[in-house]
Amino acid sequence: MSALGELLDGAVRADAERLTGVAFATDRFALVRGRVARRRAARSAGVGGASVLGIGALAVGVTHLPFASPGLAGPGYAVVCTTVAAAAPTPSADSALSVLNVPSPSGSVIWSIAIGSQDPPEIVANIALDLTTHEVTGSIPDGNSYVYTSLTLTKNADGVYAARLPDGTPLTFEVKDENLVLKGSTLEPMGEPTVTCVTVDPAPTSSAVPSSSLEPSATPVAMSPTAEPTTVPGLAWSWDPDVPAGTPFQCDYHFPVGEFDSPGLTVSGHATTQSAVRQAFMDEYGDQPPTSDVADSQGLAYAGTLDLADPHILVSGPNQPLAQSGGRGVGATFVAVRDGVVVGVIVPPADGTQGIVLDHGVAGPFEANFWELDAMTACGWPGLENADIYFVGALAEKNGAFFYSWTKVSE
Amino acid sequence: MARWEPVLDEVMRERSPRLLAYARLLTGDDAEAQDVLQDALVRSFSRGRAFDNANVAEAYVRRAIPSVFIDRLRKRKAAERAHDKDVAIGGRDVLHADSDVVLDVRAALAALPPQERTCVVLRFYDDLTVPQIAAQMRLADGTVKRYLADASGKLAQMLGDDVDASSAAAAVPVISPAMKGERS
Repeated sequence: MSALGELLDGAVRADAERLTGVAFATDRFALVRGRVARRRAARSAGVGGASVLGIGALAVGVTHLPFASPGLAGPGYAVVCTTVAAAAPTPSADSALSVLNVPSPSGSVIWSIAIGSQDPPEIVANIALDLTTHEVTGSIPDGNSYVYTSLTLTKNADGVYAARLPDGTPLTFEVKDENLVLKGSTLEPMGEPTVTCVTVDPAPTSSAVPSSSLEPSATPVAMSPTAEPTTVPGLAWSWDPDVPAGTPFQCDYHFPVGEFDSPGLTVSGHATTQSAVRQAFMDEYGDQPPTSDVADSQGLAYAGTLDLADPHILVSGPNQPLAQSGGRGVGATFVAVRDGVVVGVIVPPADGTQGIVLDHGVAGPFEANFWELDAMTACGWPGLENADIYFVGALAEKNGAFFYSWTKVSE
Repeated sequence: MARWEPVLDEVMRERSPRLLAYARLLTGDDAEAQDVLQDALVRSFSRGRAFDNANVAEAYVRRAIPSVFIDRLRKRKAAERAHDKDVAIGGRDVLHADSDVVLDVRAALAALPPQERTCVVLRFYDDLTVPQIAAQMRLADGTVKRYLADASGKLAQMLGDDVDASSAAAAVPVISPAMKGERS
């Protein structure tokens, strides 16, 4: 250690003797634990693919799928999940809810539901009202990331909407005259749901693109929460060697073929530079986030594109209101793959940008850019060494099935 | 109780003094160090890693601290960055009023711009190489070298004979561009 290093070490030692961990833990443990629990639960539901996937437009985090269209026929790699809520009330501190009005595109009203009194507020859900159809939909954000998961809402005879957040906490509200009124001031955790999935894969084939005549074979996969049997959905622990992975978004998923496009969903992608990503953002958004999130450097980045056969699923422009209650949606991610197995996934961090933007562009296909390679979390030993990067797209159908397409983007 | 909760509790109760002290090297401020550590804890434990013990978790959290600190910096408004400059200028006045070398090195660090400060801590406290620092801070290697060279020069000027800052400069053999206002 250099002379300067020794001085720095001395400063750390002196401060460590002065500071007390008990006070820090006493003051902040409940807050940290709550934030971690919510994000782990949200990640298990969203990244794991247990819910309909949605891509957020940059400003408001919701996407408009304006036209209903027939479901896409043909085989694909599909996962159907059912969620069963647990009932184990655990009081939580700092759980007061509030409603925030956020900028909304014309034809819609969007509210964010915040928990606690943090600054900036911690958003636990977004609710959107389509003023044309009067449809109310919900989505779950994760920090400030641009990835959103749909929130299933149920409406009773009195017009009260109810939903359960990924960590199991209930949310009830009414929408009256373009105002959202919470039915209750706090969230009371009810335990986390358990998730059971059934994977439907086409039969193995040597072809890179399975033919449409293949008969899918249903293979039940019990995603038992072996790691934490009472609280954690199985999808959160897909990298546990005892738990099979269910989707290409998850650790340990085994890609049956190197490249694959599901019917109706074509993906493409390539390696690029952060400067190129920055320039693309600059062209579209100017010198503001997400442009300012990307360094003007020759650092490695990746780009992917989702092309959908159904033109109606394409959005007409940015910041359109969400209409996901019908169940259709698209999502995408990048994963690290070694020997055909997912060995790294992108996990949205606690706050701030995660180095990935999924966007629908102005008038073209869905586009994804990923530049913060540190956001790729290794599934376990031996890490991300010698792994390729794959771009994975997902199309969620009304019946709850997911169709996946993937392609290698690293060189 | 989830499996990660006891590890989180142990890290917060038993490991946080040193983690806070490390964060304070970067922030120069106790309160902000607590905020940074809190976010680093959330970031580390939210990623679903199955920490078997507090040692592993502590290592992850410590590695997350500079990233969290840098992310927070990037989110700050221009006015807040301007405030940092004011603090830095004020910090230099404090330097020579205290003869304690530890206090001096803290004050000298605080006088550096945050990016340079982070590079110095990663280089001389964590013993990371320039490419490793560049990867962690998501900067180009050349940018890190420039930050280190600039910081080394300033530290040598501020700390004088208290520390062999020339060794720091020698470790980063780059030519630093002239600072604004210094060009003749």
